[in-house]
Amino acid sequence: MALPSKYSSSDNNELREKLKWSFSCAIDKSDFLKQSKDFKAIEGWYHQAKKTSDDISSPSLVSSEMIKELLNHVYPHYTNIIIEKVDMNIKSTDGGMQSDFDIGIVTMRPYVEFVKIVNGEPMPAAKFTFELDIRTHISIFKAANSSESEYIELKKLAIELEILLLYMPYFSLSESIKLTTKTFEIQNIRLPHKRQK
Amino acid sequence: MSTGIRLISSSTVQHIANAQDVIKANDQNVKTYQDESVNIEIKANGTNKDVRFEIFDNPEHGRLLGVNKENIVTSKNNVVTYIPDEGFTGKDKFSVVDTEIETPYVDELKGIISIDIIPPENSNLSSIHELAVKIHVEKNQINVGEVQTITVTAFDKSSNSIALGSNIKGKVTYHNRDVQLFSGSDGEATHSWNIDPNSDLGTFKVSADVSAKGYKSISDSTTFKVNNKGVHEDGGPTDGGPPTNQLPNNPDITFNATLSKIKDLVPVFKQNDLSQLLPLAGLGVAAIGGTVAYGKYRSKKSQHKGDNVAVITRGGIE
Repeated sequence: MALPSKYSSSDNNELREKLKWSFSCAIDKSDFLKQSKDFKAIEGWYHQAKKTSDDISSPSLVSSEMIKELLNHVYPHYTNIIIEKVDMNIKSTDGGMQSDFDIGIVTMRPYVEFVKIVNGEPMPAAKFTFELDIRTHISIFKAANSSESEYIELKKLAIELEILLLYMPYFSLSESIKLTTKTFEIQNIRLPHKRQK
Repeated sequence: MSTGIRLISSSTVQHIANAQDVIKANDQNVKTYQDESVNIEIKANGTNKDVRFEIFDNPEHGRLLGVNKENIVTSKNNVVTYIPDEGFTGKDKFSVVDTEIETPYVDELKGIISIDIIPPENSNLSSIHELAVKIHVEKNQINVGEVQTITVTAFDKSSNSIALGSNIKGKVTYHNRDVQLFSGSDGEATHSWNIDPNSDLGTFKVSADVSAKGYKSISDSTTFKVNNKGVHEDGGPTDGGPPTNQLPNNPDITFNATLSKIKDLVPVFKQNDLSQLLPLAGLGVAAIGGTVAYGKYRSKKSQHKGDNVAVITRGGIE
């Protein structure tokens, strides 16, 4: 998913770290996922790749690569949703005093694909699909303008995040599997503000 | 089925003082077939109230879906899915308790779900899944002296996913003569070899047989063509390399060669490797008097050895 040009990642590392922690808990602590043949098959790919490349460090890359990919796609997507919702709220009050509000449940389905390449020929991708149900509450914020940048300051961002596993590449799940539920708050978060046209 | 409670000790009496409110899940006997899952509805007699069940003793030879990380049954109607370990047959069991029980370790309060996993030969054939196989030949037209790579992938036909655990036996033949044999497990087999500069020319057939537990076996084949481009008439490469062996190119010629002669005729192999080459290339002793490839192909002892393998990741939001 393309990242809008308005987006900047310099001001909310804590959100990124909390999301990373959540993904890590979901994947690294899931015996079902890590003991699955799907996971082990991909570990085997990395094991084979390690024999032919010094760039591959460890089969444990499977979980870390999965977390990294999830983070790289979920973080900007979710952040932009917050920005859009906040911006809509600002418009609804015509830029006046803002109050707390709930974004509601945001559902997204991120996926991670692993592709084994043998002698330059890609094999069928192994795709893991997840579902994130994120309930977000935003406490009082204000829009801060300056001549060089525009951004929004949130006093508190309260997040309840549920991570589910929907599909695995080889094993067919009869229903989604809940991997983890995380609740956390971030104080004094700053997000870029959508430019007014 | 009894739902009564037998108090075990004075200490447990305190915990289950309201024993009449405690609900015990029914014991059940369930059957399934090897490598097949089964849905089990957990029930309790003597109550109309909604009960939340917890898996107290996990199965030893399989796993359960429909439970959360705390082992609480989360699915509607208290249905869990039992998945036996791959290839396991025999008996397995797990226990279920009411989540409100404070003494779930008391055996009398557990519902025991026993599962009989039956071998596939007793299973209904209609439950057998179908395989699909894809044979990928890197070069449909290849010149002598070049490296050919064949990748065979087995898929579950219904899900179109790789059939892990499936076994692949592949071979390359020329006029019904085996010239390369290879194999693989877990749904993949990759085989690379160097087409000898003095190779037979024409159409070669690649075939693969795939089998897996719970699946109907399947076979498929394809072809590729070997051309003589880049080879001198003396059999040597055009880049000035030395002439290769002078074996005739006609695959129909029969040799009554001895093993020692074959060793002499196969300069591309170290002699220590010949014993490993022979079964790999279908050059058993019984075949010595027949039509054989005589080392016209450089073969690899391992299907993956020498393959350049890499793994990439990518992701997105659906």
